[in-house]
Amino acid sequence: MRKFLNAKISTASLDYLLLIPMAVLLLMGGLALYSTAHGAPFMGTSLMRQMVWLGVGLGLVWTLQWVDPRTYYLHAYRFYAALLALLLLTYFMPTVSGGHRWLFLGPMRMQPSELGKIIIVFAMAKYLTDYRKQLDEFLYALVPLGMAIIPAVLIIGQPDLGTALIIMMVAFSMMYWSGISLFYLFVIIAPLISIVTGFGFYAFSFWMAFLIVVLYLARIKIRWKTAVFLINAMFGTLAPFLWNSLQPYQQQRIMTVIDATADPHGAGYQVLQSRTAIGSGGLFGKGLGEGTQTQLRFLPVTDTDFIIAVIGEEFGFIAILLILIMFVWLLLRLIDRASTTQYRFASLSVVGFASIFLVHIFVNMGMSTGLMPVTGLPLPFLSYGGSFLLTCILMIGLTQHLLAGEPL
Amino acid sequence: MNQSGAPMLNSRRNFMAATVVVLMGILGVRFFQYQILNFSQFQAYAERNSIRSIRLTAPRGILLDRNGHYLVTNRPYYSLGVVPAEVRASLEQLSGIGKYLDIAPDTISARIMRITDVYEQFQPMVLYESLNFIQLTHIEEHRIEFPGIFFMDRTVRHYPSRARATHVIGYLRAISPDDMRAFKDRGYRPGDQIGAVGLERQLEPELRGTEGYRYHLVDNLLRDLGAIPDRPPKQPLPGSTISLSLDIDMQALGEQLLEGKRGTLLALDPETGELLAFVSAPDYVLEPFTGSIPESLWNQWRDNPDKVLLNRPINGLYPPGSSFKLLTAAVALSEGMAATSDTVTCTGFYFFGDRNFRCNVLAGHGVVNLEQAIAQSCNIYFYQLIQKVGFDPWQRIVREFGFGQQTGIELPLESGGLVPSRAYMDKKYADVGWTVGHMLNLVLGQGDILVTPLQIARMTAAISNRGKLVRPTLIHDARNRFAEAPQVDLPDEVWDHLQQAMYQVVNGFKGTGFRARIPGERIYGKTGTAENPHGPGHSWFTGYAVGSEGDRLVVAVLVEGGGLGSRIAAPMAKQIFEYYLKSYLPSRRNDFAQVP
Repeated sequence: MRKFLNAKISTASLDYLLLIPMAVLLLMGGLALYSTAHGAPFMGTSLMRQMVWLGVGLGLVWTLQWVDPRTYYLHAYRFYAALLALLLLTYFMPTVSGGHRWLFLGPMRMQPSELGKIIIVFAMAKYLTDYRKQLDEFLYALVPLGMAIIPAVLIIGQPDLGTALIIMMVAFSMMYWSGISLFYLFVIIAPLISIVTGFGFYAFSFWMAFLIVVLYLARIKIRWKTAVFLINAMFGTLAPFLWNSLQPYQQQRIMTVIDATADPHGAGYQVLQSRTAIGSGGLFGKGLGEGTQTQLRFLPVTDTDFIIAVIGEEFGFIAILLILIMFVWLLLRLIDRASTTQYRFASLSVVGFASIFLVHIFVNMGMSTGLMPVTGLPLPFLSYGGSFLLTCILMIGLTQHLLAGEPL
Repeated sequence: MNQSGAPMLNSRRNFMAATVVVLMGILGVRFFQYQILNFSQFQAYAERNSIRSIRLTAPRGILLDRNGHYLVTNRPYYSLGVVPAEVRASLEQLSGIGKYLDIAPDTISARIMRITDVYEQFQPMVLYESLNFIQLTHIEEHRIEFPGIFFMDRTVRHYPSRARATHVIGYLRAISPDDMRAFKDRGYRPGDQIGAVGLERQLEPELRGTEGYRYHLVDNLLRDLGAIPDRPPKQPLPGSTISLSLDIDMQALGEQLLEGKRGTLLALDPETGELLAFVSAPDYVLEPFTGSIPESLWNQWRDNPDKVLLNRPINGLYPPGSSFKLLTAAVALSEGMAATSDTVTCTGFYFFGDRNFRCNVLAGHGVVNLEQAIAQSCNIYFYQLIQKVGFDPWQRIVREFGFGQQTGIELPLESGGLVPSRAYMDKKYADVGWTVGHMLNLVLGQGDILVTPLQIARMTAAISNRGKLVRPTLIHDARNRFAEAPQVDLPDEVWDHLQQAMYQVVNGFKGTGFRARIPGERIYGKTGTAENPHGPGHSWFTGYAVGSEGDRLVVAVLVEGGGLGSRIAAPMAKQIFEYYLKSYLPSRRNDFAQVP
C-alpha cells in the first residue's frame, strides 16, 4: 500500500457529500449568531467576525491546492516539534484570565493548541504508517500514546483540560484504527479505568478481578502480566491523591456532571439555565430572536459554548434534529472515506479529524444538556470562535486534499 | 489498508460508525426528553426566570378603640438586604459594615456563604433586621463602601396607645408550615407575617389586605430591566381599619389596677356585649414582636411561673365562688322552692354527715332571709336551700346562664369551663358515690365547677338586663345592640329580687361588697372568695353600675390568691365604676368610632 498519492485538488475531486452538511451547519450557526447579536448593527458583531474568519478559512483551504499533499506526511515530525516548542513558550507569556493559552506576536495572538490538534494527528498518523509492521510489539504500540501524552500534559498545565482530553480520545481512536491489537489497547486504557474505579472500594475490587482474568487468559509472558497488574494496582490506589492534585475548578467541572445542582457558583448555574432554554424551546422553538432565556442573558457565553441552547430555544427540536443529522452525515462520510482510501496516512489522518469532530460535538452538546462536564469545548461550525472555525474548515479542506483523486 | 486486513478494516469502520450513531442518538434522546417530554415544565421555568412579580405588601389594617383612638398602627421598618450572588466577590469589603451594626465581620460573611442553593443565591436576603435611625444614617452615609447592599422597608406593628391590651390584640409571627397548609391558596409565602394569637389572629383575613404586584423584566442577575408595559401593576389594598369595643382609658386604668397582680378585669356593656376593658394580668409587651423576638425573652415569658402568656379572661379556669349563690337563689325562687321571706338561723357552722361546714362569719349571721344571705354571703342559708333545690335544677340554671360553653367572643381557643353533669359526677365518684356533701360545695361555687371570668361577666350582664345572654365582643359595632341573644327566662320578680340582693351586697347592712360602694350611685355586685388549694383564695367581685340615663356597665374582677373578694376585688371594681359614672361622658359612650 502506498503511503501517499500526489494529486491536486480540483473541482472534480471535491467531495460534495462533505461540503453539504458543513454548509448547512454554517448557515444555522450564522442564524444563531445573528440572534445573539440582540439586533445590534452588523459591523463588529460576532456574526460579522465569524464571517470574516469563514472567509479566511476558505481562502486558506483554497491555497492548499498549491501545497504538495506529501508535505503533511514528510514534515509531520517537524511540525510536531515546533508545536511542542510553542506550547512550552506559552508558559513564558503573560497570563490571560488565569491561563497560559495564548502566544503573543506583537498585536496578534494565537492559541497553538487549536492547530496543535491537527499537527498531533499528522504526527501520529505518520508514526502509525511508518511502523505498522512493528505495532505487534507492545513497546512500539506505546509510542503513539506518548506522542499524545506529551502535548496533552503541556496543555493540561495551561490549564486546558478539555483540549487535553480531546487529544487523548483522538489518540485512542487512531490507534484503534491503525490495527493495534485490542489487548494492547486494553492494557493502555486499563490504568485509566483503574484511576476511575480507585475511588470506590467495590468497583476497584471488581475491576481488579476482571483484570486478573483477562491477564490470565492473555498469551504474554508472566512478568508482563505481573507488571500490568502492579501498574494498575498502583494507579488505582494513587487515584485519590492524583484527584487532589487537580485544580479545584477542574475537580468542580468534573463533579458538576454528576449533579448539575451541586455546584452553586458557575458551571451548574449555566447548565441549569441552558437546560431551561433548550427545554422551553419545544418542538418548533420561540422564533428567531425571541428566546427569553438567551436574549435576556440568563445564559452566559451563548455565542460560543452554549450556542446550541440558543438554537434549541429559538428553533426548537426540529432544528436540533437537523443539526444532529448533519453531524451524523458528516462523520459517517469522513469514516467512510477513511475506510475506502488506499493510503494509510490519509486514512489515519481523516479518522483523527473525525474523532476531533465527534468529541467536540458530543462534549459540547452533552454539556449543554447536563450530560457532560462544562469544559468549554466549542461546537464545530456553529460556535463563535475564529481559530476553532478555522481548524474545522481546515480539517475538511485537508480531508479533501489528502483524498484528492480518490474515487468518490 | 493492507491486503489481508480488509475484513478487519470493515469491522473497525462499522464500529466507528456505530459509535457515532449511538453517541448522536444519546444526544437526540436527551434533547427529545427536554424539548418534547418536559417541555411544559421548562416553559414554566423560563417564564419564572424572566418575569419577576415584585410583591407590594399591603399595609395591615389599623385597630382603633371605640372612640377612634389608635390602638395598633403601622410604622416603617428597615432591614439591610443583599443578593448573595452579587456580593460574594466583595465579601471582605462588605463585612466591614459590621462595625455599624455591632456584629462581627465573620458573622456577616458566614450568613452570606451559608446560602448555597443556586436560585436562592439570586434572591434578596435579609442581612440585618430592624435598623435603627442611627444605623440607617451611618450606613446611608457610607453606602459607597459597601457595594450590593440595599435597604428593604416594610411596615411593622406599632402600639401607640398607653393601654397595652396585649391579650386582646395578640401578635404576628412568621407563618408556620401548619398555617401554610391551613391558609392554602390565600397567597401566603414562607416568611410572611400572620396573626398568631388574639384579634390579630382572629381578624387575619380582614386585617391582611390584598397584596399588589408589579411586573418587571429581569436579567440573569435579577437586575431590573424595568416594568413590563403590557402588564400594569396591581396596587395593594390595605387591610380594613377595625374599631374595637375597648375604651383605652378604661383599659389602661384596669391594667394599672392589676399591675403586679395575677388576675383579670373585665368591663362589659350588658346591652351590646361590647367589652370596654379586657385586662389579663400579668401581660407582656408586644413591641419586641415587630422584629424577630429574641428567644431568651420568649422563653422568659413562656416559663414565667405567673403564666404571662395565659389569656385569663377566656382561658383561666377558676371556681366561681359565692357569686354562684345568685343562680341557686334564682332557680329556687322561680321554681317556688323558696320564698323571699324564708329565713334560716345561721350559727356559723352546719353539720352534715360527719363534716362540719362552716360559714364565713365564725359567729354566724343569725336569722337571715334570702336577700340578707346573698348580701352577707351566708353559706348556711344556701346549704339548706340547695338541698331543697337538688342537683338537676341547679345544673340546668347554671347551663342556662351560659356556663360550660364558650361565650363566642371573637378570640381563638376560648375555654368553655366545666359544669358537672350527673353522668360526670357518677363517673368521677364511682367508688365512693357522690352525695349532698358535694352539692354543698357546688352551691358555693366550689368543687367540681370551673368557669372563666368572661362567663361570670356575662352572667352578671344577664342579671342586669333581665335575662339577655349577650355574646361578649371586642368589636365596636352598632349592630351589636340588636344581635340575637339567648334569653334566660325567669319571672320579673325573680330578676327584681336578684338585683335587689346585689344592691344590698354593696349598699346593705353588713353587705360584703361595701368597698365598691359609691355614695349616691346605683352599684350592684357580688363578692366571692374561691378556694385555692395553692394558697389564699381567689378574690372575685362581679357587679354593675347604672348610670343616670339607665345605661349600665358590668365589671368583673378576679385576683388570683387575692384573699377575700370584698377586700381586694371590690375596690378595683369601684374605681372602674367611678371612672365610668363620673369621667366617662354619656355622649361619648355609644359613638361610632371616628377615624381622626
